[in-house]
Amino acid sequence: MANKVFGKPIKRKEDPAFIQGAAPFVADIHLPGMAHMEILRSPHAHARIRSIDTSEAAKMPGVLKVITGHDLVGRMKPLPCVWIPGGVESHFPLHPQDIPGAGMPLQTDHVRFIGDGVAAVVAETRYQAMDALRAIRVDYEVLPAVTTPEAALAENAPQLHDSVPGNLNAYWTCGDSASTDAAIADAEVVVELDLLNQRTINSPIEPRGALATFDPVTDEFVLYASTQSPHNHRLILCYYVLNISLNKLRIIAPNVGGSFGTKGYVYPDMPLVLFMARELKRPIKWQDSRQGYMRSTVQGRDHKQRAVLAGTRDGKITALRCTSHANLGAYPSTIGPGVATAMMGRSITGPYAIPAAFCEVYAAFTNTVPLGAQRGSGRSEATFMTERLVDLFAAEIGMDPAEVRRRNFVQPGDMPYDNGLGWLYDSGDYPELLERALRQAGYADLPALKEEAKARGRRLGVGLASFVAVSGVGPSPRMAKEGMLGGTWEAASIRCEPTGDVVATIGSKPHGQSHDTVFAQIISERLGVAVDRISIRHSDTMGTPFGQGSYGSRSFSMAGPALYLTCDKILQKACLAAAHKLNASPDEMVFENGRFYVDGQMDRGITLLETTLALWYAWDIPDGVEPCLEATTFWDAPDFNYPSGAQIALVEVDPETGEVELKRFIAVSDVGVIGNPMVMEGQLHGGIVHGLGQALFEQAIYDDDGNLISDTLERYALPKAAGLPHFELDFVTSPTPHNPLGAKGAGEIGTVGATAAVGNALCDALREYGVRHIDMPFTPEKVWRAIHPHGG
Amino acid sequence: MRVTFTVNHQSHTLDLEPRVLLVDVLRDHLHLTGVKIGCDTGQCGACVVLMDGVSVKSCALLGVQADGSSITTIEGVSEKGTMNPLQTAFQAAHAVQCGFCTPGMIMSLTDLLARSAQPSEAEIRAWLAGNLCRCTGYENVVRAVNAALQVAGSPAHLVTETPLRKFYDSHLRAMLAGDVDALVDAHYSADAVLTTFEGVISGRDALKTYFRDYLSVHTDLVIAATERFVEFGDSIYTETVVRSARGVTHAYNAFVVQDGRVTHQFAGVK
Amino acid sequence: MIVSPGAVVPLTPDPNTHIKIAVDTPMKRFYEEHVTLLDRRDFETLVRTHYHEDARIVSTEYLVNGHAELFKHFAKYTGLMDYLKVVSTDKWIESEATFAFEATARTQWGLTRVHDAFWLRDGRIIRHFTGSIPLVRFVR
Ligand code: FES
Ligand code: FES
Repeated sequence: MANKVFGKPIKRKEDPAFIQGAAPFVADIHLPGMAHMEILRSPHAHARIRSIDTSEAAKMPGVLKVITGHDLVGRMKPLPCVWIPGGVESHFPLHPQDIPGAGMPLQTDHVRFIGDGVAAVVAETRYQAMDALRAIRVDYEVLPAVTTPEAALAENAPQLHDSVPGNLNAYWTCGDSASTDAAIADAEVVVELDLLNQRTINSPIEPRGALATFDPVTDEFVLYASTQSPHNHRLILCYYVLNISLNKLRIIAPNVGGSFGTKGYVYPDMPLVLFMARELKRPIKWQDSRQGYMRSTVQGRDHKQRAVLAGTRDGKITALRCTSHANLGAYPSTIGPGVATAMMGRSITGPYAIPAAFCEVYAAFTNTVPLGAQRGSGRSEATFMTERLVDLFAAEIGMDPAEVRRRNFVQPGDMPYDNGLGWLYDSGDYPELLERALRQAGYADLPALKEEAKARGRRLGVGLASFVAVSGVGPSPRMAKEGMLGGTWEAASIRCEPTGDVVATIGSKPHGQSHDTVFAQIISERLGVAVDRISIRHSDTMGTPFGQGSYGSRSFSMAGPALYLTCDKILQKACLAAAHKLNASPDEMVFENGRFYVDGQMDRGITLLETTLALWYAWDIPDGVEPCLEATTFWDAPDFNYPSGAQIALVEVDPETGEVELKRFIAVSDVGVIGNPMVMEGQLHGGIVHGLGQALFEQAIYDDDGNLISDTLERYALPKAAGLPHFELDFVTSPTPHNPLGAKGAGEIGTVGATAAVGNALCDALREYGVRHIDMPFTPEKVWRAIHPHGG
Repeated sequence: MRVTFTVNHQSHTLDLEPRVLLVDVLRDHLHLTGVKIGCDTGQCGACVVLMDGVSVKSCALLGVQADGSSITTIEGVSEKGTMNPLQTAFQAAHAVQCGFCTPGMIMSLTDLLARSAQPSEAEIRAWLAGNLCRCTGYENVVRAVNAALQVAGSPAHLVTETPLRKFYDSHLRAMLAGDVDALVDAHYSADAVLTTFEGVISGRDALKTYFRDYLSVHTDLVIAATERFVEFGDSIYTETVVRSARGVTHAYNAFVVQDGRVTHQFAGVK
Repeated sequence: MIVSPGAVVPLTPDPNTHIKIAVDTPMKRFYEEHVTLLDRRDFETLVRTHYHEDARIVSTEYLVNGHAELFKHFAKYTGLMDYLKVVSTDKWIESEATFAFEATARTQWGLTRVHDAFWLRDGRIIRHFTGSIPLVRFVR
């Protein structure tokens, strides 16, 4: 590309509406005649329902309808799970359509976590609906609960689902167990680490909402929902849950206030509002509260890992082995089990060439909120583990951690590189990423700074993290092997209007990623049309092509190429019409700056707009060419793409209080070709802080009975503006050969390295206290206890 | 409970259930959905509005607590379709991703900039303790504030909650409350001149008589809409729709405000 | 204290003249001179003799501050003057240092009700507020 628009830091077109408070989110939509639904959730993590009495609630002021799980029997099916652990035997709750099930929207006799729904109320106002919830009497027989995978897999553990013996969803492996064990047995040095990659709550600032309308004349539904995959959810709801024709449901996902992996699931509230809208023939809105969100929307991470790294005294890593227990929660979320296995397991070797590696995952159901993806899912857990081990290995052999990394990197010349666990790295320069980060950090001068900090009574630590983060889900045949029960291609259409405007429709859906601007930049660059004249339509299943949605850092590297290739189709057709108009042959045509001309005769030309008009009038167009200028592409990538990075954190610890202060954070990233550097930086800032949140503050805490203690933002700490440094960003560009843009996914890479960089920095700072490892989050209390193992 | 308050310079009288949160009043009753709800427990700051110029979390207040106050929401910081310098800086610095936290951020920062002409970066970050953003990592939000400070130089230019506007609001509140003494003593200079087509009134005593007469005729006075508000130096020009027992009129008013008191006012109705 | 009892002055509409009021008070004399200078496009004299150095014009359309801006403003205003015809002066009030009127005028946007209010210092305008509400909207 000539790059006049593409690759430039263009201001976002979508911003003014947000900044003026004019952009509607689901909660902001108010329809005439709308009534409000609330869901009664179980207060117990595990219980039998003896009886439910809704008679009082039904009489409350304003109440229109009260239902329990019994009212849904035969009228609604369980939710399905569509991404299961690939290639292995797995067990799920049942679904009549022979697809893994994920539980009914409301339970009739058995509740399995504190967010499980038992009844739903519709009333004229939200306040009335909430009042009515309190009047519903449920008689529970409380059962013993399990909150960790180990406990769930223990003999005689309470059973969650009849169809899942021993609560084991799947035992999943990748790599070669025998050769890995042999390499470990033979190794000069072996380091081991047990760690908990704690459960976190993704916490977009917008909780979820759903609003349904039903037209009794046409039998058509409209669902407004805060979803990142409207097309998929339409399919799932119609075909698997509600038994209605796909054509009878339109999903509109208005603006979505962040997701970070939580809004790509079909949740019970969606079929429930649709059901209620049909029953009551009125628009029905359900809007979650923060506490409701925390108790019922998927949570992230939660791997208990036991890892072993083996190597030589001169710093060569020879083997890596991981046994992980993944906590799936009470039900499989729509794509949860796939995330918990492949995305973590296949990623453990990171940027290193490790001859023998093996990962096994026990994915188990427990009485906790269902698990889903969280920004950087799987790859972040793998990176934290491996990078902590690499540092422990370096300490064990007395080598600089940077040097150990250098000695083990996959080299740029080795690409494409098969990591032995299922990923085929496409391109990248891992050594260069680290060297740049080290230079930026002034790595050589850090010992002096450490001394200086010590003189002030503080301890400075430096932590490195190198990583690869598979992105761009994905090639459909490949994803089928990974257990994805559906295609993962992406789609785009472009229409050139006779007025010079361009409309692109995409199946992908933004929730903060800047689709409206960055995708317009691709089209603008290719077609020579001003960004202002291009509108990107999305988020409505009516009028956009089927697309899979935005998740796993896939929009730019999946929907982007679809648009790019569609521009090609547009130009090919326009070229025929232009040549016809100019009485020239199509092979002589040159397209530049929005205009076709005959090669060597700049003045013998016709603009794209004139060509579009000619095709629109269709009074004189070449034989065999259809009128109008419009094209569609369905794009399936040949393989994933593999962005990579190196991050360095500098932390200062106050040994008196255990407080950890983040002094600097350096991130050098390789995301291939960048469409809009300003947006890219924004993605990194947000991604890094997401990782810092897990490292320093966040943890979903359940008590032994399965109560979620941290169920409000008072008790669940998110990162705040104070105390964060400026992020020092740099980029290395290795275009991926797997899409025509050369772009790699960038939404998650900030997160993937951040926990490891901070963890390594902290342990470096505490080295003199003999601290080997601390589990996240690194709260002052934990750090203080690590420094003072025998108390004050 | 019957409560009267001004939102974005428009007066509202509502009958409210005492338990209803202010944020629900603004969103559900007045359809000001630029005010967001992220947590409803006072942590996230998505619901921040200005109450008498001070940033408050509208999820942490009851609607009835707003009685007699003047509230500004994101819808009131700039004319629809335009952005003030702080808002412009948010776009220029890419301080917005999903946009859900943005209105609350703008409102909080509006208050900060009204208090402090040149807040330091640490002050900006500390001030944002009550505004959570999960997308931007705050970096570009801080950049945007710094950029806005460069552009405008003075916080008064940043926001519509200017001293004159506050003065006007307080004038209006005293008038609507029927508190003629407070209205005249606190808002008019000793030799203020009010020029109307019914006559020219000069001096506080005459003004008090005039306003008492006016209010005794115009009972149940409400400013139904402020259609124009222009301020320039020490001068204010407004066009309002006034509703009272006497019916609905379009009024225009011009004020010259010196040393915090009206010295000259012109008033007319159409 | 009431300085001058209210005097509402309804006048006969005359589309051909700008203003026809009985010129019997100091402010009316000032205003007539004002209109004459405007009519003659003698902005030099108008600004110097009728506007204080610190004069401001406040309206919803424009904000003008001081002599330099006033000159520019009137230069721009010329074009508009061709369209502006006062049909009638409907209300008038004055005091020692203020006067205000409402008038019906024909402008490029149609028939409009205009209102102007003036505060004078040392016999020259220090603040001039002006606004208008269209009576007949020009619909495209
Ligand atoms: S909604 Fe008010 S602070 Fe979160
Ligand atoms: S921009 Fe999404 S929460 Fe701030």
